[in-house]
Amino acid sequence: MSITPFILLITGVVIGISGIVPGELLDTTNSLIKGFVILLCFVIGMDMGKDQKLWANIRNMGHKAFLIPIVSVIGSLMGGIITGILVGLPPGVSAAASVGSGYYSLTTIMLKQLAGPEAATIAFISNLLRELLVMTAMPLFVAVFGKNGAIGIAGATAMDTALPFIIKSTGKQMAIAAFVSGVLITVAMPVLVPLCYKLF
Amino acid sequence: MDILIFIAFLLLGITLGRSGKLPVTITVYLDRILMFVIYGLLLFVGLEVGTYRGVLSNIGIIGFKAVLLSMGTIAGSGTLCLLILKKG
Repeated sequence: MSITPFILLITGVVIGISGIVPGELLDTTNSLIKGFVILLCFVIGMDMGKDQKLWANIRNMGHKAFLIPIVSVIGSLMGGIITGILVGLPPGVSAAASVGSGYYSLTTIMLKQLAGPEAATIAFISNLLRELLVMTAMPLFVAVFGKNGAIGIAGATAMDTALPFIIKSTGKQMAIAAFVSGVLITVAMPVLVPLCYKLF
Repeated sequence: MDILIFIAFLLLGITLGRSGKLPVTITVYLDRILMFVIYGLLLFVGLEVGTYRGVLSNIGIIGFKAVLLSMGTIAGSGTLCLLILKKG
């Protein structure tokens, strides 16, 4: 896991507190963000499309390839919305932050655009913590929720940062299922976050 | 409306990638641009969080809610996978 995004965000916060940046500059960022999210969708699509091995794996697994990611996202959404109601978060914000599935950089940017800085902070902390817990508590997750549950908890991070920890705790035979699940959630995420924000 | 545009570009990207006509050098280059874009945008999100008084003065309570939200998503996805897909 790269620490750069974290450092950049904190640097931004510190500069923001110092008050040296004019407010007008910040007002222009929203349309910029939308443009870049479109670019991001395009590039994620190309990245996924060019990966021949990924397509072969999905073909071999059949409909099973979609089971873990779909159940994982629905479970995150249910858990997130219920928790959100209990702690007093707007359902749209808790739903959108939950389907971020550990992909904290993009979820934070999208929630900033959709719902402002407070929602962005919620998205950042909750998704970063999910990624950190996946990397540190994987054996516990496997023991409590099983191998499928552990891959589901890893969410989008199952394709990269969490993959080595999943393999270590569940064995090599789960590596392909984990990778495919992580890719599918990552690809669906730029669409799911705004969709869930508007639906709930 | 935005979501339809996102889906359209996602599908366009997948189709282009699947066609096998993209030179590897281009996709590697785009990856790097993308990384800088995300990093740059995060800096801006940070700027706004720092400028906006509401977040930092309430960071304790916001952080607490976010931590519980994280636990909720973990418990939710883990439990539903366990119930539907079994231990695996």
